[in-house]
Amino acid sequence: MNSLSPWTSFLVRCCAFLCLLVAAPVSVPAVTGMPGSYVVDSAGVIDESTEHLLIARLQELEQKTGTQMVVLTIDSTGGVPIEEYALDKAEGWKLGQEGRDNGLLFVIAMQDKRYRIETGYGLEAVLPDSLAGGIARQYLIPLFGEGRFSDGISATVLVITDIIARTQGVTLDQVPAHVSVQKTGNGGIPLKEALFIVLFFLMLGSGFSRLYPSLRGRPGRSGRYYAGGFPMAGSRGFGGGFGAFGGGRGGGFGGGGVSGGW
Amino acid sequence: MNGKFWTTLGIIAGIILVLAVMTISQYNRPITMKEAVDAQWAQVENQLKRRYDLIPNLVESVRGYAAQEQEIFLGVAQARKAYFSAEGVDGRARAASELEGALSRLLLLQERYPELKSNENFLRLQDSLEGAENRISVERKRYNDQVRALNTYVKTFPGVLFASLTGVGPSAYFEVSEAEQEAPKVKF
Repeated sequence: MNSLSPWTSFLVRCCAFLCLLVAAPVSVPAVTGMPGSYVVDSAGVIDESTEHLLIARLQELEQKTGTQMVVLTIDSTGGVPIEEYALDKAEGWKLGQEGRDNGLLFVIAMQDKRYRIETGYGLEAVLPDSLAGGIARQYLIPLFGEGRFSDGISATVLVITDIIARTQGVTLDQVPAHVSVQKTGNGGIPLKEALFIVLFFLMLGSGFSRLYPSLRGRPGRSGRYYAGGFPMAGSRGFGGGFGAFGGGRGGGFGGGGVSGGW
Repeated sequence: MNGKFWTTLGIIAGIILVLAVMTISQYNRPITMKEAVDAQWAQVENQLKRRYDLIPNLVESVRGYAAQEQEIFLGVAQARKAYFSAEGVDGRARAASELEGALSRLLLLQERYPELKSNENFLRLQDSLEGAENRISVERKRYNDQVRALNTYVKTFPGVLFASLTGVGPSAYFEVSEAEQEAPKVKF
């Protein structure tokens, strides 16, 4: 077996090339900068105690319902429509569990004065766009209008998480109780009343879904690729200390949710 | 000499084997890609349907405040009917963009009838409509990405070989028409 002739070495190269061709179409999507926490306050508008409470609540939400919700504040999307920005981030972070698609991303772009609540496929029936829009009009817009960004964010998160927890028959203990969901000036709505409003929204929401059965649930999708792994309810690790975000679990998004300005 | 002969023979056998594997693995590829395009098209249609189903309620809620705007209601009704009877990707795309134009004229009425802007029912329907439109644009982009992948594959080597073997041709893009791009946009 001495050295191969030029002809055979050419054949070997062809062989290798063909092998490459067969193996070629495998691409791995790049995931950029996973969130380290349930609250990513890049714009620095959430005060520290609120941030801690929000993290605790969102962590509890994930532990009890599996729903992964992340709050992200930024200065600006840099000219990109916030709908596109939020979808890119939510998909890149793979929020929500694979198969249940119960991810939720709440983005606030301070300089753009725009917000977006991006719901995963699995939450579209629980939190229809109309309901999310109603919550934003009720809490986010008035509070943001007064410059109370921390309160506006926490009120919105409180109501949304409560709705999700209630539809799954669980209650969340980590209520940011110090946040009075306040309307201009006069005292503010106590928590009980706020929860009543939540119930009202819930009833409205379920009535709405009944009226439009075609909007419920998530249409069957095929041809989706998963990164692998077996998410098991109840067995996920939260060992990373307080507020550590366990990372996305492969949930899917389809552009559902609401956006608006203040 | 003899050793060289066997080496060459082995390599040729190897090439034939690799070619066979490649043919088998590639033969299904255009079919799989076409399936993915069709599945994604079904997603687009799902979302178009979502918007379509919202229209009657939206029209009703606007009619309560702007009953005299018959022309606009008629436009929406006609566009909706035309969408229902449209066929194929191109037909559907064209009808969908006409419907979009008619709907944005309907939504523009809130500028002339400010009471609409404070009607929670109308605002919620508008949220749903916006949500539907955003989903349509997301699924449309995904559809076009799939079509681009398929079309590139069937027009270049070696896909062109397997495509002609399996009879899979390029698919149509869901184009956004000029009319739609120029449709009046409502400031929310």
